[in-house]
Amino acid sequence: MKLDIDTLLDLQQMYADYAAALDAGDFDRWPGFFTDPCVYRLQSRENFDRGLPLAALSFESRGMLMDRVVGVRDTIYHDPYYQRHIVGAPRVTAVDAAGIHSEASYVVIRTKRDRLAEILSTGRSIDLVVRTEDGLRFAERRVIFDNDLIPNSIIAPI
Amino acid sequence: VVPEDWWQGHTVVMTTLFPSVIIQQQVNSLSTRHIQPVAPGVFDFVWTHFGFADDSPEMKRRRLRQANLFGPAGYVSADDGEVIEFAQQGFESTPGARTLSELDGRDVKPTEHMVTETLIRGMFEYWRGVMQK
Repeated sequence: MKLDIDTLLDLQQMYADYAAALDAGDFDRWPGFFTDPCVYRLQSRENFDRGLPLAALSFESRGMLMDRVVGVRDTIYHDPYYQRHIVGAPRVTAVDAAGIHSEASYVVIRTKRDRLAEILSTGRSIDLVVRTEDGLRFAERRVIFDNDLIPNSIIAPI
Repeated sequence: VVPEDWWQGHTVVMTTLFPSVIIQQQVNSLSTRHIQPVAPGVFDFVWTHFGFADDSPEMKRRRLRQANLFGPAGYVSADDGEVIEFAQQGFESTPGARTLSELDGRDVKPTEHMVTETLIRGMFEYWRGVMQK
């Protein structure tokens, strides 16, 4: 199945909006990019490639995503930072009854005040996007990071 | 959380294997943390989660869900790394100085409370003894 041009534009817009919301620290918007239930996974490429299930973060519902937002904002004590997503154009790998299967490479740059910017995470997301009454949403988003060595911690979602 | 027979009652266990491995059971999550020194001021922190070969699919899923608590993005452990980095920045800000952890004194002793840094003093006292042998 081929994607029509309007849907492709919507898809690109959704990826851009997703990154913009996170880069603006507008985390309350984050769960709204997903269906409920959903899959959100932040996993090392090492584990992904070996078929191992352990992920740094593994969420299954909007409720779990909202819980993470509370964690980022209120409970996980951390050095504050800006993050900047550089996301490649989504590459549609298949369109079928389940939805749009797409992947996008990304780099997230972390900048702390008074420090040089550094790469926090780089890799690709492997996504399943579905059309809902409210527009396109992630039914599944698997963020697979290449850098198994994380610079200390990942607090905000990617 | 589902109690497991081998706990023999509710437990939280973090056992340190001197000097650099921690084996932990917290709720149904089982893991090791391994500190691998790289250079002065630098170490790698390697997490390994494990289960048992005869875990039911439900228990396996439970362990994986609870893994959200741990690791570099975990709800209860991400801030450990952040605070250790703060502490290191503090130590390094005055290279000519020494840093003392004086909460509850300077000695090493058993206590009946957690308002103490005797554990880290005890670790380094033992470390010094081993390294000076």
